[in-house]
Amino acid sequence: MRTCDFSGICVTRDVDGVRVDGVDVDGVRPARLVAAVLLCLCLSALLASEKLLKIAEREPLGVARDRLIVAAEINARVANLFWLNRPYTFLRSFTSSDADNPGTKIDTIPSVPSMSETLFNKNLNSQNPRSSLFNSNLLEEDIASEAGSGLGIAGEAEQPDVITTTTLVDETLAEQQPLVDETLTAQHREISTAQPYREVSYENPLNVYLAGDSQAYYLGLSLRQDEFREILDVDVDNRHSTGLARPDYFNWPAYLVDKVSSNTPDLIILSLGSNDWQAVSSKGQRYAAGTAGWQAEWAWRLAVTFELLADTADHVMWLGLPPSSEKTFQTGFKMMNQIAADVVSEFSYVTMIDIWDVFGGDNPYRASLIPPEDLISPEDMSDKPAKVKPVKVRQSDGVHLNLEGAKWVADIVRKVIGHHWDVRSGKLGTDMQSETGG
Amino acid sequence: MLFPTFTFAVFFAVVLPVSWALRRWSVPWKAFLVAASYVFYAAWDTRFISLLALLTATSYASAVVVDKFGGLGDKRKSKSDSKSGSKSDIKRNSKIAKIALVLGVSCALGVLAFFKYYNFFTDSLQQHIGISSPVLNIVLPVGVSFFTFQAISYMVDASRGDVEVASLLDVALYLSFFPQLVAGPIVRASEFLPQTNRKSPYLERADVSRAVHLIGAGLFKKVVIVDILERGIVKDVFADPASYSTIDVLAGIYGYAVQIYADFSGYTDMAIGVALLIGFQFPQNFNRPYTAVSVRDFWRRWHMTLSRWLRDYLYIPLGGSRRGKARTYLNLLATMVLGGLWHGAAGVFLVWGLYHGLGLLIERVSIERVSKDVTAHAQSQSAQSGDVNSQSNSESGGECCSEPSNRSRVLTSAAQKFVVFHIVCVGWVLFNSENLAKAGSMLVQLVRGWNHPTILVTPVVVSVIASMILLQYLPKTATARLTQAMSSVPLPVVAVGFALWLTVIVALGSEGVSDYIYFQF
Repeated sequence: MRTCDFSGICVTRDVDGVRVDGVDVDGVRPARLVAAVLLCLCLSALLASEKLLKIAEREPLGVARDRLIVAAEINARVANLFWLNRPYTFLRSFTSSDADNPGTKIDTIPSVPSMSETLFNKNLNSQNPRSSLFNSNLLEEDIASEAGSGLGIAGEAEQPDVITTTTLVDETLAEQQPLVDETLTAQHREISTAQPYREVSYENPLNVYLAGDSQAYYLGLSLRQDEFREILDVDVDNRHSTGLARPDYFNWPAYLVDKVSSNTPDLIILSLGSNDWQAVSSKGQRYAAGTAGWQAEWAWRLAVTFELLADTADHVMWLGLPPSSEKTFQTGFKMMNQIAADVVSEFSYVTMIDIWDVFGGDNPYRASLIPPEDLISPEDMSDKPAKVKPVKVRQSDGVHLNLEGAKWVADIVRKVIGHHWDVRSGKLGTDMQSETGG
Repeated sequence: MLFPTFTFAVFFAVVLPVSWALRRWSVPWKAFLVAASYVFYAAWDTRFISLLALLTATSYASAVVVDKFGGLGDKRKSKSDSKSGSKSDIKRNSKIAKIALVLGVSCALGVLAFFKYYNFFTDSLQQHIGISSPVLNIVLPVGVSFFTFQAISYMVDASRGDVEVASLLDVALYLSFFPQLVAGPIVRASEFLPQTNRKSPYLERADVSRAVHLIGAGLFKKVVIVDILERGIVKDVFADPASYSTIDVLAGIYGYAVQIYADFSGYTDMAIGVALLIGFQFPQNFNRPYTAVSVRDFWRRWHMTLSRWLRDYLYIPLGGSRRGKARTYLNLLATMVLGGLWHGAAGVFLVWGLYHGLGLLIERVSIERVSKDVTAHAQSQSAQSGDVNSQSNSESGGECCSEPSNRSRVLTSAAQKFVVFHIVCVGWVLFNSENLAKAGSMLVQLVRGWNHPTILVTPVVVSVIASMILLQYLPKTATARLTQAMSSVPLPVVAVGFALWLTVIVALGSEGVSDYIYFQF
């Protein structure tokens, strides 16, 4: 029997199967089809066993992941036994790049565990740093209610020799200190001014190493805009879906040590955390995102990262997280900013750029926002206020900033750079000289 | 759940055998496929399952009510006229049927408007007029534009009598069937519903060769080609065109043209292939679009199922070309602008739709003018020539009617293809830019960027772009022959070969799979 369907393909059904006119294809009986598909899938699983193991390892921490890893490991062993994993390994050897290198495991750097213990014992208190860094009863609500008053770390900590900049988490402390930079938003007030590190000019540009997750991509582009390109030599190293929560996926601290040891930058900017609102695992314990254990662990990892970078650059900047359209992330990001602010305050060479309020803060999420005052041209501000319209600064996913949003962040970053380095050339230099009357 | 993932492979390894095992029992088979499709959809966001169920229920109810009151199309009217008694009854029934259809379609459009366009309109109001409206953090349900269009297709087809009113289970399967749920192709109810019938030839044997060909090609396009272009050139150029050279920007534009084609056609290839393995036949969605010789031709080759949906459910109901020239042009523009907005809630999509609408309009006007000139010329020739027809023809009239040489025809066709491809590419610049200013700066950089060093154009990028465009010029028979050759290979060999092909794709692809461009539409 011959029938033609809507797409013009004519099918002839006979005892032997289905024949499609023009293509002349024999149909396959379901049992054979299912067997062939299952054979294909099983064989693929063996051939790409290495990839499957990676996929399993990258699953969110939990029982399901553990089981998946066991299954993937068995699969990998079988594949290895019959050499079925060789074609994949062979092909991968041609295509693998540095981007696939997850860095050495953090625990394999011998100095890290001992160093971190020392650090916390010195700076925080003599109790177990991981458990005492945060009040174990501190819940999300507490974090929210305590926003602006800090978690008490700065008061307890031994005052570093020079605190260059810190995020304002303790209003009382901030009031006691001179506020040097009025142009920065309230979140970036400086407690004291450091001496400029060195002169930056066209001839001697500032070497900036920007590392981070996908958020770092547009920031990197913004920092490379024409007007600043001559004085900022920016090396962007962004890796999607990475953070501090999952060193098994990508180990940032270890990778950074490797990276900056060979090529020492003047400034390291870290833009991480967007992917960290997930369970973390430490010393056999698993902590769900936001729990006291999670907070302590994440803070510890952040501190370790800063400590590892101590002698690698003149200065380190930690970029805070912007608000998100997802309620869960909104709560989580706010908490992480708070933790980061407290950790940053312990390191004299680290500055936190807090962009929370710049991008709407606790207000309802909007993709378009009115630019901060210092980004609006004086003409628009004074003569035609109606010109100041909201600008789209977010991507449609509700997490990432777009290029315009990244430009706002870059502007803040550049201002902070201007306060630390003696910038002599370009627009940044002119800005700084006019502000200081030079 | 994306097709090229381990999760989908596991899902499919379960669904395929169970589906074939249940196929003899119609209701359990359909119920299983609906359940599997809902699981597939829930993998993105469980919240929107209820939305899909609600749309299914309203579409079903609307079609049932419309059917009960005699329907609306000519086919239905003749039936109902013979059944019903008085004229007033017929009028009343027709009115009720119309109300039911309008309610059903409004519900589908309401879902689309709320989830897709609320933020766009409130943002636009705030941005341009300064009116601030309540902020709702609306998450766009994946594939909402596709399944709402299918729901409308079902309700309208049922009201016209083009398709029989289906059971709730059939409607649920039609709207949720997982291969086409999130990014098409937009299958019509009249194409899909008959296939749920056990008599469908595809439910007895599967066209494996074609399925393997489609899935293999689709995976390669999505995992390898898209990735190379996205990371290699497109993302950088579109993010900051001012920093790149003319050559980089040009390659970025060509790269995006290839990327969006590989991304979307790759998905629909896989969707059609997966559906074939389960026993369903879907319509073709792409037919070598970059070989189009006119804008109109392009839209007959690009996202074909959307083009025909817009034609059948928007352009023709608006009056099509039946109400005079001015109205035809207006209908054309309106259809393309709405088609543009369907792609995304943003000004650039609106402008992109308008751009293509204008292209179609200009093309139509030119063709009408040329054909008018040719007719007038022919008429004047025949009037002049009279009895001495043969003589004058040899002197002048012969020019008009002589067939163009083969060479000039080839050259004309090549020039047309070149021009249309570049018209489409300019459209893609609008399509992929955040705003018009960015699109403008991209095009300006094509002129200004000569002083910049070329840094992104690599041999890999160039060869990928060139080969993907040249592949479209392969004769159709070549792919048919490949499929035919594959059908003569023993099935176990095909299975092993395909497993090796999957390994190559996995090895060449980067870590993770990027989201499909069309998922946001």
